[in-house]
Amino acid sequence: MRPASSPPRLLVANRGEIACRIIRGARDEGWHTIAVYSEVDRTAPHVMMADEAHGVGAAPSPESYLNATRILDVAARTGATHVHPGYGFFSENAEFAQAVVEAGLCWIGPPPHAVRSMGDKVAARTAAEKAGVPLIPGSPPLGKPDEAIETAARIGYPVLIKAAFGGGGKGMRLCHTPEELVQALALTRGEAGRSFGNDTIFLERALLKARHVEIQVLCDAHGHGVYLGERECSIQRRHQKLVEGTPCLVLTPEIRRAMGEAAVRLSLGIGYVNAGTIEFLLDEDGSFYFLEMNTRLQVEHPITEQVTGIDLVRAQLHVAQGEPLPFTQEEIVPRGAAIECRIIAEDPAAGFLPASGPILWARLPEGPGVRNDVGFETGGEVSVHYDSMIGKLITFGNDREEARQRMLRALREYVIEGVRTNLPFLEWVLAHPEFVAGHTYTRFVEDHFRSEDLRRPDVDALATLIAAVAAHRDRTGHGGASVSTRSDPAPAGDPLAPRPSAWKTRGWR
Amino acid sequence: MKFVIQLGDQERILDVEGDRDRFRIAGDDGDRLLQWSNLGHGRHLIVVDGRSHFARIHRGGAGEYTIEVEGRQTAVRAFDEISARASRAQQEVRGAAGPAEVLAPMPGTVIQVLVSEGDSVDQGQALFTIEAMKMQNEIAAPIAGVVRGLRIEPGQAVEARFKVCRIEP
Repeated sequence: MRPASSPPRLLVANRGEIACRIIRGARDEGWHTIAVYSEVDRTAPHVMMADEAHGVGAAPSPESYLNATRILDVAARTGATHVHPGYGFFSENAEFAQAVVEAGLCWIGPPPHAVRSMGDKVAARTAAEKAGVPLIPGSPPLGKPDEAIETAARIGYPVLIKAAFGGGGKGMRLCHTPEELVQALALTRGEAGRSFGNDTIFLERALLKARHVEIQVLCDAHGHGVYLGERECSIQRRHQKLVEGTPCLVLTPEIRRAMGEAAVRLSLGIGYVNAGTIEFLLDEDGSFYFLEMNTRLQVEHPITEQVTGIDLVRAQLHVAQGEPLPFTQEEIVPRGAAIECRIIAEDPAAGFLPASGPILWARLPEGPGVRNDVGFETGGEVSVHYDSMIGKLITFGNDREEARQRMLRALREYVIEGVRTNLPFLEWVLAHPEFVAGHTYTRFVEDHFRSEDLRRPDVDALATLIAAVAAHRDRTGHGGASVSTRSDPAPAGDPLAPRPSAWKTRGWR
Repeated sequence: MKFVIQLGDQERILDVEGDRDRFRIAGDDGDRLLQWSNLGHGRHLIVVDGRSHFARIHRGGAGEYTIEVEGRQTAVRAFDEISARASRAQQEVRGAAGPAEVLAPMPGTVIQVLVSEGDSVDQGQALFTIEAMKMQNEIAAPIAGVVRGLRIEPGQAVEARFKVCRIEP
């Protein structure tokens, strides 16, 4: 038996940057941390960082990070007292949450019934309606294609088809005409059935110039809830968020309060406890509509932490223990601005194809106003088995422009060698005149981005020079191993030491 | 030594001279000076016009180099003049009439196969969808033609550069 005074023992049922983030939060509280890992993650940062780590199976997620039996077995063997799911994997799985609770452990997240009610998007809309939260004109679950066409005519094109159990941008399609709708219906149903195990779908009017604005809420087990400001996440590709910021430039204090209060009302209405996020679409006229609720810690939570000074992971640990919220709504006063960029292993110049492979070298940006939440390091590997989002770069400043300038600077400092990333794309976003002006909306990338925008003739010219010299060296016997080597041999002595330079002796400079 | 350097559809001729680590490169827009140091671990320090860059050089076969510099991986082909001429001749033989090989662009799982053996397809027409890292991607026909040698089915796991089929014009 552990003595009563020993610290809580937290099992983190996740990997990558979010596992590291949670381990750090728990350690800041003096908790003991337990990591789990799949075979390919044996030396991953979250494993090395935790107080102890245990293997839970092979690389594919269903055999490891989604293997409930193995994870609960590790929890039992290690004497875990708490389980944090992070995001993705088990985070919005009510059955797993229930199993954790039934095993006598504390689940760091909302009660299973709240996860369940918000996981079903149709039920979520009903709950929102009941709490007086405005909804986008839409439909109940749909049966035959004919019914969809009639409904679409009633709510007006363009419409979005959505999978009732979808999320993260999957199972959603935009249709401008009845013909497109018919085609998309079958596709969406198929994808929904395959991905979410349920092919229920419904329709919603599509708001094409709207911003994605979401409210962070935090509720305790005593019926109190607060909102911690908003995050604008309009910069998306295929409904995947890429750049997030707070505050949202166009939100007036009145609208912010109305959204915040609606979010808290909805959360308390369904008996929500812990951190959660209510997503809205904010239309050009200032009206806002409920999109969905994410019953977990969000990827983009750090920007809220930077402007509110509240550590959301630690707040989660506290409220999960049954402690009351330590602050009132009036005491939450966001200060300054923050931006987050998601660093994704993909090739933005080639249709954003996912990339994988070894990280040969990494150097993270530093300096004033910069925070890195990452789950990789030099010598690691980006595996095809998991999410290609490998880290997050967060910058903050007194206002959005300061945060933006710092983000541009930090993106240019960022080095990842060996794997292609979306860093060039992120730089494009942050430097785009429309982004600078704050003219952001959910179709920003779709409307503005062309892959030619990433061309850099100066880098092409440099690469050409380097290739010419490499070819020359290969032919004159200086190139190291001839073909298909990934590295030249290490040099003797200090390569950077000053030499009697031909640049001088031959008058090159 | 003179090299023909191809980058995309651009081609330049560069004349390189120099010893171990200092090179003069003559091109049609004048001379450039390049300083080269091996740093170990596959990294190089490249100095051009007073600016320092870290670079990696990934060598493929047949004069292919992928130069990783300034956060980008740029695929370049470098031939000495003789092999450049040979390669160009080969391309002309294959020419517009040759079949195009369709490869899996990444490791992943085939979700849908949208064409059948013997189908005629247009350039840019979707051939199959592949899921990797939770994203589905459509792979399009590189040229117009007839699908031959199709060897994938839904649910199949494929490696990067797996030969999916040929398109015969």
